Amino acid sequence: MAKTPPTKKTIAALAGLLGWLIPGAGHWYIGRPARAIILFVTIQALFWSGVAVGGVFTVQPSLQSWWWRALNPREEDAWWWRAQVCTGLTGIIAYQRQASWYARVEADLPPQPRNPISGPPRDQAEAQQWQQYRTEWQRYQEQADANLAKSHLALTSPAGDIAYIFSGVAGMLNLMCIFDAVLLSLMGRYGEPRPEMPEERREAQV
Amino acid sequence: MTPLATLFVDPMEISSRSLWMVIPVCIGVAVVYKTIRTRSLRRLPLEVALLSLYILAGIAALMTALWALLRFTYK
Repeated sequence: MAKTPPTKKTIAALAGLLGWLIPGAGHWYIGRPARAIILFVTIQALFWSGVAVGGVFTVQPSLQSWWWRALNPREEDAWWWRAQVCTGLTGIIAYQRQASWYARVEADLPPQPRNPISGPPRDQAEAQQWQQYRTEWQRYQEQADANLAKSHLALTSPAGDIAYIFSGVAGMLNLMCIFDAVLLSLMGRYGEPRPEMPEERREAQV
Repeated sequence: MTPLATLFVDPMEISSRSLWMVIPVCIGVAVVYKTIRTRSLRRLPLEVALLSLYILAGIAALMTALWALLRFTYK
């Protein structure tokens, strides 16, 4: 009887992309549907349990745009957001939910201050404009935080910590699943591994 | 809004015994890890249970060690 595991050509990048978009979909693509369902249910349960504990703002409300927060490492709690987004569409849906709720918080605020200069200040006048913009932005942020606190939706410890851990760990686990699906695809493996036969076990022991 | 409608909107009131919430996280980690690693899905429940116990025992041991360190060294 053949000892090699089942093989079929699959596209590793597609396995990774599907695995990111929908937790478990990468494993479904490489022919492991039962594992895909278990992974999907577990990761979704972890993530949404975190959102249930922390509320709608579990997925990082921020006045900055999503690309700013993705690229700016000094943004507060940016790493938790990056972990949450590893759950793919789940994280994106949760982020959009918080964005729509945050829009209600921002509704009472005046218009956001705009940066009057592009790039670093080139002379004294631009430096003063930049400093004034930063002061206005800080005032705007303080008012937004106050509105957020009044809405009773702001994250506070310990609920916030638990929410971050649940949703962040769900994202990290999905990252592990993505790596597994990609590696199996690169190795050409498809379907469930063959169960170990008694002869193989005896041979391995010799 | 009804309590169910606010389930994923309002933060929950969590008591000081929130340390028990490490258990579902450990079980979740064990389930995902064993699901991608196990050779046979029939053995999955047993392997998940064992791994969960190992993780929780490890965390408990770490907590005990840190408690002892603080208790007997920090004045």
